[in-house]
Amino acid sequence: MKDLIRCISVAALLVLVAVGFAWAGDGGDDEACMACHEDLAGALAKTVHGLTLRGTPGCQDCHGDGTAHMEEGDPSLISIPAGKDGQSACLTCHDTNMLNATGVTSVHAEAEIFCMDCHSIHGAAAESTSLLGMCADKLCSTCHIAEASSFRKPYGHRLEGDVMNCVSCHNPHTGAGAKSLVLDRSGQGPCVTCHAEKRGPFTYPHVGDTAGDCMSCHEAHGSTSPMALTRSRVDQLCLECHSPITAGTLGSMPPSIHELSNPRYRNCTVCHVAIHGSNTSPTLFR
Amino acid sequence: MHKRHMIGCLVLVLAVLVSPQAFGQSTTMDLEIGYQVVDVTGNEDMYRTQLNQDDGFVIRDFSLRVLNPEGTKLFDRLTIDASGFGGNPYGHLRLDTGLGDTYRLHLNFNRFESFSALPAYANPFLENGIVPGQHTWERDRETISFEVELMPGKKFSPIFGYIRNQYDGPRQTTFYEGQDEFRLRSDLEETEEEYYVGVNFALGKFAGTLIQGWRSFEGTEHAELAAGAGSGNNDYVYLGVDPTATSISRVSRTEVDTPVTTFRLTGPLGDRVRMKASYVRADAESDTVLADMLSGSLVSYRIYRFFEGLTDTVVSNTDNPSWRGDLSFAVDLGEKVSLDLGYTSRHRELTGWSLVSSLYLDTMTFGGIDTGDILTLAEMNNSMERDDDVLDLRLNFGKVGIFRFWAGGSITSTDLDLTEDVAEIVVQTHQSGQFDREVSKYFFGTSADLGKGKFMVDWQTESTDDIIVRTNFTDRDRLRFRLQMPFLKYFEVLGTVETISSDNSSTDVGYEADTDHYAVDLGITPSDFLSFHLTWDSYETESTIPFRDPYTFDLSTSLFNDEGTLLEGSVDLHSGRFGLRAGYSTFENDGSLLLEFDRIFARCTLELSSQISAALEVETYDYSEDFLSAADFESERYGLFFRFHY
Repeated sequence: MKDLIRCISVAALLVLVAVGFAWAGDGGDDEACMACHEDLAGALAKTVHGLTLRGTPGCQDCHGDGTAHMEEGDPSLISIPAGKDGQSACLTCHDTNMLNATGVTSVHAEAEIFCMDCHSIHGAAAESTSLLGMCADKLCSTCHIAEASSFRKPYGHRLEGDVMNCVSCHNPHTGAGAKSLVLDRSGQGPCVTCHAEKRGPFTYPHVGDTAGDCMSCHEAHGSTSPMALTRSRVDQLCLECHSPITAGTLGSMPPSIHELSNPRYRNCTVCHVAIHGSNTSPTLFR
Repeated sequence: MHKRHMIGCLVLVLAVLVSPQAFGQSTTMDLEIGYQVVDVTGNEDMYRTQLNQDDGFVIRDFSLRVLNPEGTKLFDRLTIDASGFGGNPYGHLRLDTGLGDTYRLHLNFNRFESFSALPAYANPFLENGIVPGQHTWERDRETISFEVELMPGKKFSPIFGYIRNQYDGPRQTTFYEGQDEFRLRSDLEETEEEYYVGVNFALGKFAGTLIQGWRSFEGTEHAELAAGAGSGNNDYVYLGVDPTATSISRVSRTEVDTPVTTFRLTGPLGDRVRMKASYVRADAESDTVLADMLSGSLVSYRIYRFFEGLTDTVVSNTDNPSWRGDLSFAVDLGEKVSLDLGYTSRHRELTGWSLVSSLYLDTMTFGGIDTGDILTLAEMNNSMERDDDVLDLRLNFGKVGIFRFWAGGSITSTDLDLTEDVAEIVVQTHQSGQFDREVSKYFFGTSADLGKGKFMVDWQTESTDDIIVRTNFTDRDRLRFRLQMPFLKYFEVLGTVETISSDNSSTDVGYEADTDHYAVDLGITPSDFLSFHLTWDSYETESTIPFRDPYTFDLSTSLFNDEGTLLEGSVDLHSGRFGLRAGYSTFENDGSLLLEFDRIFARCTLELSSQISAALEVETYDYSEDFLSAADFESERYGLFFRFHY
């Protein structure tokens, strides 16, 4: 805790120094728009885009030159960003997506799901830092209903508003499948961001980063099996790999002392407790 | 109930409540807070494992937004969000603030209460009706992340931050020694911290980040023999001795240090190409010291002796350098065609050794000869090297009529080299070797713009030249459909179909796994203040693979089947000052583990004034398993909440 306090103190000091050189911005020039569109301007003012006086976008940055529209009063003479054109307007400023470097373009955009389909620039913005129209898990489930249903299973992660939701693990601005996973700064997947004790390295690793990953044994979205495993019986999960009938596959066969006809011994993890990896036991006993 | 967190949040909330005007022009604040009571019948441990709601105050939602366009020299925006805590096993607090191009600050705090006490997991005595199993825990995880960026948007923006992840609490585990398993009570504290400094830069059209972080992990566990567990799990008698333990104590400590370097760069290469690159290097080194001390009457086939005590000391060290590089290009090939091309390379090495010093006390041969104390030393080594290379390509075709198309493929090569030490070999063969695997993937998809609706088909096929473990596939196909369509003014239907088929048909493996998943969501919105939702979701997963029984060495088949069906219906009603959101869902699995999981939820809200409203929540769960009634539970949660809006 001392380290944390020290870190925050240093940060606060640096912030104060920076604030000392604070810059005062120029005034905005959106008053003309606000004269007619008071409701839209009012809604925008509650968002981070409302900081026009500090140089963040004004009306015409997204809607284009409004001179003709103001003079004629014709709605068709003003650009209303939507679809791919709307995305271009957003990318004028938000042209880099540094959260995840596994893909350049968004698979959503390629499927014609553009910025405004999820982000509400004038709307529910005050409720969301990311200007999302609704909470991320609800938003994603409007299309990904099968994935959303998986969370109704008895075991697995519970989606809980801002505590944990889809974007905790997936970055919607990158690729599909594994490419959508949020990697940490060391290039590891999202599981160990929370489950840090599983990160290792272990002297005797098991599955993770050797011949598989967390998903080799667990279902992240939800499972009918205890511990969110992919099989309802632990011995079944273990023996499917640890039964080298096939020549040349990895994974030894348990010796004959494992008398699995007795349900008593079908709990491999009663002895092999360090199933995610061990620093002290090659048999993962401790 | 973790009072300090709740009190901290309440203080924060009250501070904001009493001075909403202090922040300037645009301040919005929402606070919903209340109290909930929970009643559980049946297996309360199972309820806590799955849901873990508790009596207590809960912050359903808190959000404060302050926007001060004219600036205060301190900040021009401030956002504070909080939810959970108290009776909720999850808690979240986030603070975002900044001042123009002077600084940005982000602080995030999460708290998770983790509980597990399953009746059928790690339970050698389930047949005797004893629950829960022997692996249980009640732990808390707290994560804090803090980051400051100075001069955001400038050519060079220094950033620095701190991340902390702490996991602690009691657990129950087991320890196999002396031909028996013994239950241990353990207290564990694990903390991962990371400090990092770096810079965001924007040079011309290129932008990037360079960060150097220092991550450390410390884990300490103190364990001892659980009360009443001295006779062990086994009732076998070995050469006249039933192993028993009179005391067991364990102290273990693990430290990991990992410097992490991250570099990212993105920018255009000409008018038609956008490049993105990243490089990450992490060199982890782990050290562990463990000391186990046992006393009792025990048997060891390792030294062929009876013994009455053991002092086991293990020292281990692991080096784990790794790096990952990504390079990708988005190429604009014209108005209708674009190309994404990417390459990822990942390298990971692991070199580990451990030295085990075991001092067996008061040993006696199986023939009854006193052999005193015996010291054994074993040094074990382990090493691994893994390389993964992924080359992928995707072509996107713009609109042709109502259609868009995409197609592409990837090649993923994995080289895995595992070396085992002779002393490590428990069962000979198959724990080491060199493995190469290449997975080729091809995909094709199309979407159709159906006016207000949309239709999408996506097909993907993968094949490999080899497998590493037996459950690797050699062929896998996936087909997905999605349809979204409004109709008859008030209705909107969304349907998805997904089938996945994996197999390894070679005669010496015979692995097969199939999944069919269907889901339909129907939205009915007869008016602005009334809407209904109905969801039907059905899936079936079946996998088969032969395995050899370790006790008979006969071939058997591992068959797993999941047949889940979810039915869910909900209604949303808003009329004047009254609101209602209610729903029912039932999930049933007819597969290997027969179970049913039902939920009823209702939330009624009443606006008391323009700034205050009240809400009443009722939520029930009913969980039941067909073959293990000891797992069943029913729960009811009632909550009264008040929302304040400024």
